[in-house]
Amino acid sequence: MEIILTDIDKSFEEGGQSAPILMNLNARFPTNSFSVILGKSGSGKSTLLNLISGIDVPDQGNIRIGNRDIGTMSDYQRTLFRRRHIGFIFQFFNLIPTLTVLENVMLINELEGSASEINRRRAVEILQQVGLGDRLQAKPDNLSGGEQQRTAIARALAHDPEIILADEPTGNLDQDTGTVILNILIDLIRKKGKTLIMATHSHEILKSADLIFGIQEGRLVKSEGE
Amino acid sequence: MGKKTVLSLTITGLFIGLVSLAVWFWRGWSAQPMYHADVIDALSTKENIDDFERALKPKAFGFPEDWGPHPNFQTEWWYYTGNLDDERGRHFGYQLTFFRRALKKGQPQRTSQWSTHQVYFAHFAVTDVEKRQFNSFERFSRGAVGLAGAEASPYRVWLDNWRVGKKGEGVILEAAEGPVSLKLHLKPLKPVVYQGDRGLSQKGSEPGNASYYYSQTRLHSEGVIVIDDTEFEVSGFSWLDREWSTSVLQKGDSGWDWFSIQLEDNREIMVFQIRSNDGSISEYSAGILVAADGSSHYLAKDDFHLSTLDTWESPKSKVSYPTEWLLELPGHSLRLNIKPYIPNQEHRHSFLYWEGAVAVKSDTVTGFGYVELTGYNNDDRSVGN
Amino acid sequence: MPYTSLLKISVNHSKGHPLRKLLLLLGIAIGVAVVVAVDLANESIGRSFQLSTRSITGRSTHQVIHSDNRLDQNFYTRLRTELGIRRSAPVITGYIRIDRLEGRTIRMLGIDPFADAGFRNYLGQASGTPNLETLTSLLTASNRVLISKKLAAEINIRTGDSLGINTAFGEQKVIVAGLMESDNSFTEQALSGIMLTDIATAQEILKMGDHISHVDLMLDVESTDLMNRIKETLPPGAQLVSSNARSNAVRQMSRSFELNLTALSLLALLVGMFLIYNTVTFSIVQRRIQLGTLRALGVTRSEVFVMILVETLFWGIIGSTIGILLGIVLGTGTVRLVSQTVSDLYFTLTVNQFHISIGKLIKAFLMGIGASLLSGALPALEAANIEPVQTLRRSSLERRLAVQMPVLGIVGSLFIIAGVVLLSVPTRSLRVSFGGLLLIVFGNALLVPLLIRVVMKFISAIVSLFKGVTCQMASRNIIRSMSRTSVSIASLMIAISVIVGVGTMIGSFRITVVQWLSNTIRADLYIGSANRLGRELDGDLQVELKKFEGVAKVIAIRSRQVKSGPYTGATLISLDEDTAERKWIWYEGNKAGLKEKFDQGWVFISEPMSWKYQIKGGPGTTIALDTDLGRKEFRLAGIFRDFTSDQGAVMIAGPHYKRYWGDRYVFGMSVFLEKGVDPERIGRDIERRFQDRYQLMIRSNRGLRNAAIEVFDRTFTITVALQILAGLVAFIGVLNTVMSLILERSREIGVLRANGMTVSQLGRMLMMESGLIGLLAGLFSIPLGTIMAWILVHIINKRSFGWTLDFVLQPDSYLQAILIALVSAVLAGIYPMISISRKQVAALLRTE
Repeated sequence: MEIILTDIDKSFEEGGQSAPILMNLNARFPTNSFSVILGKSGSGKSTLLNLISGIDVPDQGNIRIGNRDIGTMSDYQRTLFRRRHIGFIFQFFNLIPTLTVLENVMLINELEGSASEINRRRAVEILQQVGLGDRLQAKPDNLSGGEQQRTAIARALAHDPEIILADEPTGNLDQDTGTVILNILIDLIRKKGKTLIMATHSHEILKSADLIFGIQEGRLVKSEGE
Repeated sequence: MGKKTVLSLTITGLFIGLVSLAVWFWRGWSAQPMYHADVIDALSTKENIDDFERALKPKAFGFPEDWGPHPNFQTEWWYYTGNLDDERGRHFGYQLTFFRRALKKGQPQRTSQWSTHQVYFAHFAVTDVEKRQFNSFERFSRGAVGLAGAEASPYRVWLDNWRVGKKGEGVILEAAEGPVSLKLHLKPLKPVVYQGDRGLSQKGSEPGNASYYYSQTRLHSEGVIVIDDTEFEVSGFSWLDREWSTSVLQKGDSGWDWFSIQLEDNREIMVFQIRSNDGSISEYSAGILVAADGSSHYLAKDDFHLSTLDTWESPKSKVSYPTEWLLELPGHSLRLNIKPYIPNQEHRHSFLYWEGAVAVKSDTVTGFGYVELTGYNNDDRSVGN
Repeated sequence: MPYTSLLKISVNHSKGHPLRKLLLLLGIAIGVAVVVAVDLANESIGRSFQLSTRSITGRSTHQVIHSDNRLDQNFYTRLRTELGIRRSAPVITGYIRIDRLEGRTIRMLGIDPFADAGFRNYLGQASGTPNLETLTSLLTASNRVLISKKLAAEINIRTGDSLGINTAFGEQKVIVAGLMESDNSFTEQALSGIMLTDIATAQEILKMGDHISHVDLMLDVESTDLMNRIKETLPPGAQLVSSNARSNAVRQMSRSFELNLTALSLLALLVGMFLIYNTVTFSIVQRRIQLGTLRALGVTRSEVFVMILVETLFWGIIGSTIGILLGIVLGTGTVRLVSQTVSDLYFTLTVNQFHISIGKLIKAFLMGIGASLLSGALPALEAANIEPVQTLRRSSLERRLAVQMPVLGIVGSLFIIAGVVLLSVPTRSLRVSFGGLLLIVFGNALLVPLLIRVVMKFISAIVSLFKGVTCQMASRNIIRSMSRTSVSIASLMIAISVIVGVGTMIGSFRITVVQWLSNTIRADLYIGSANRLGRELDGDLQVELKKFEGVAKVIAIRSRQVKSGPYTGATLISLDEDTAERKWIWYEGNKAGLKEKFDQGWVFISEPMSWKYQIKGGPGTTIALDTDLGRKEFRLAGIFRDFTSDQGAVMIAGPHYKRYWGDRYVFGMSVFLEKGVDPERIGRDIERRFQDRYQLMIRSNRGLRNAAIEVFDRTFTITVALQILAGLVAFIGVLNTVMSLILERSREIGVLRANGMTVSQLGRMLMMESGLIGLLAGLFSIPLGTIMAWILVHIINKRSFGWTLDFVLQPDSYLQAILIALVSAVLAGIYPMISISRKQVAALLRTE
């Protein structure tokens, strides 16, 4: 699905003052493209991802995903839209500690109420793809960081979303593990044909990216890499 | 009207006594008795007295009925006083008085025996001359369920365990309180004498301002006085005044002085004078002289003259009383010097008065007696609080 | 780091989260308030008792009383005129009802003003001049009375007004001759329970004939000589007793009842402690990062510990203060309930106002602070153990609990064993018994984590059968956050188990009493005096009733209080024939021979009597009773189960009673009707026939039972009130826990929401969590509540009152327990759920 952002403004209240993060931002992420957003801490990368996923709403502007306008949706509609069309990968993995690896991966489909046998099969399959076929019943607490992030990738893909949003997926991993994880992720989305937007400062990834953006003064600017 | 003083005193006393009883009742044990002495005020309160019988004209006394109570009259008393000596000549004076006061006329028409219109109260005092000690006590009781009362036949008057009762020719007197007790056997040596006009003692100008009044002026007395566990076998003479009335005093009267004197020569004299606010002596002051043979002679106001020789101020109440007199009876060639055995014989209970044993002297004859003084605190001071 | 800056941090932290602070304060406050309220109620009862006793007995040191409350008035006259005892005052007292007081009972006190001055002080420091006219009218007019100014104002009466009263002998008018007042509010209080009259009036109104109730005396303790002389003068049935001994005997009656209340109030405080623990823990959760940072900056463990404790102390002080104020408010209601019960069961008492004893308030205050510190100590320790960086995960805390769980289990078991040991000590001390009970309760609380683990296994297994990850997450969250949930579940469990325990106890008691009533109340009609103010029935009535058409049998019941001797305070009951089907605790010989023995003059005693005086029964046992013919030994035939009074009862056959006490009055009559006769109709006929002579109260078999049950139910109103309060505390506890659980997981919730969990799914999950907390607490409370009920029935009640109750399980109360637990937990979950749902997902994701 194609993502089009038009004239986005977003600011945060801080100490009674409004601090603008994104200003008059415009961008287009084509279907099945892999975009990387570079930027310093606090530049607005996460905010941008939150806006795209509908977790947060812009102060101004339009967000179109496919033929839908996120901005006109209610919170409930956005939630449903999110769990059908978007997969999330976080810097801190954010697995649900009470659920097993398998259950974490099945979570979103469970929330959607999909028939559990199919759901389960799909989850096992994807966990095998990320190399965790033997850790299905493990609890997240007992996994290494890399394994946790692999689980998170599986969770983000398990319900077969068109769009994957990854926020510093390697930020909390050592470099070798990070590389492995990225490879797995990119491999999978290429294979499955997904739109991936990744916020990162890892430069290693740039060579695989279709598009590279940077955030400067609240705007998204195309960059050719450094 | 020898006992007019006492009468008035009593009425006042009863009234004030009741007031203070009420105070006492409300405030409980710890409260000091309150003195209140606006006699005239008290007496001019004519509450309900119209309902009662009045002493309007002389009556025929009859015994034993007239020993007993006369509940149709508001006020009544049995008044015993006397002078006694033990074998060694130690002198004692005593007073045992029972008062009856009707709160309302007639008998209550109620089922409870506790109900009564009669209130009794009594004073008991013993003067120990040698020790210069004066002990006096006061009691109240309702005249019901045998707690207090008076009966004609057999004659008896009592309040709790203070009592007078017939014994043979005479009576037994019994009283005890605190460290003091008294038990005497009294025998009359002379017949009853009737005061005033055949027993009608006029106290004021208005008809009915009078009492029925008779006395036994010489009662041989023998018995025991106990003070602080020491027993004294005593003998001597006592005096009884019996009087009942409904109203007595009139406006302008301030108080009275009453004297009962028993002379060695077997004569007795009673005089009283009513003092007025203006310092004058009331026309109705009077007395009696009883000869050795028992015959009596009425003394009108002008037949006697009293003059005060000395005064005494009570250290407790700060009231000043006359304390030595010269009593002159020109018609009987008597000039008697009267002096209390001890100055402090002041009663300070529900009401304040002086009543005590006195020694009587003259050139020709000696004797003793009792004196009562009231109305000396007419400036209405309250003492003791 | 100096404590001042630490305190500043503490205080600044406290500024936020007003709602949570409110909950913390409320937890402490309610716990303290319940203790204060019960304490004040008991204290007020005691104080009012003392005051009203003093207003009756006055300054007397001794009293001459009569077993029948009918002392020959001649005795008093002899006392004064023969023995010359001046410090003596006659008294006639009895109960009357005032129409305008909605039938409230007050005491009529007839005194002789001439004799009474030294004994009673009716006006305190009176203001104004006493009125001679008043006194004269009291003495000379019939039906003149004095009442307190306060009472007069309450019923809108002025001097001179006429007032309708109700005595045992019918309705009557009295005229208020004057008002008594006191500037001391407590004396005033006691005065308002009294109608003062002249003794003659009292004698007439209370139909005392030539009798008085008793004589008050002020005697020198050393004057044994005088006492002996008084004793020689005593008429039959009269006793010389010391006033203190007499009023103490009466006062002792309600002590057990009050002690029971105190124990319940302590239970409320215990629940309150859990709440404090919860809240303090909660406030630490909120600051874990901050505390970690402080540790990183070099604040020592002990400094953190002290900081948290000082903070808890601060809240403890405020909460306890609020609790005391709240307790005082609550106390007014409690006083009313308790005094009603005391009046129903023990002695008539007028308490409108209650006594605030500074000592008790300080005690409650310190208890509140102590409980706060004690329950704050654990979380403070937890805070002190926070690592210098914020990496401490919940999981490690939970892992620690998992390690501690066996230890907790062992300690809990030890507590329970100690409690059982304490309970099995053969003592009569209620404190020991309650101590044992509390140990068992506390021990159970410590076992809660283990129980949760076990029970949740089953629940998870059940839940996993259902579809839906939300259910599983909810059930797992309970286990995961055990260090939080277990405390909450434990406190809710205790509160609910009190409801189950007390409910089962009352239920058992009620069933036993109903059973007992139907065994004891056998006659078709019961005839008594129109109220319990006096006795007016006599043998004549019995004779006439027997002739009544349709009447098969009339049994006279005579009754009196044992006023002297070893069994002072017990009730002596005489029956012509014992028709009741009794349950025997012990009996002499064979059961069939009991009736014969009874007719021969052997006596039966009630179970409370046997308990109170430790009369075990056994052949040859005798009971010494003071009769009009002196002290007499009666042979004991049996001990029966009885709930009439906890003061004990002796039952004796009519002829023997009459011989020893010569009582012509009859307390009541049981009327047995011929078959097929309508009791209602006969009752009306009897009432009509005798209405000129007697004011009869006729109750049918059913009516009497209902009346008895009504009193029974009223007795336990206060207990129900305490249960509700305990429930309220528990509710706040759950609220706190759910809030704390949610706060800790904000980020996790954010992730769930980000991954597409809808608000309603989130809500379902959270509701399920609080529901599970409630369900677990409800489940756990059932065994604990049952154990508690067992202890209450078989140990506490037995030791307090000497009653043996049938222990009857109350399935209703179990269902009720689970329902209350569920509902309160779910209700507690609503607010936190709504507040978290309103939060922005992005904001949730940003937390921590």
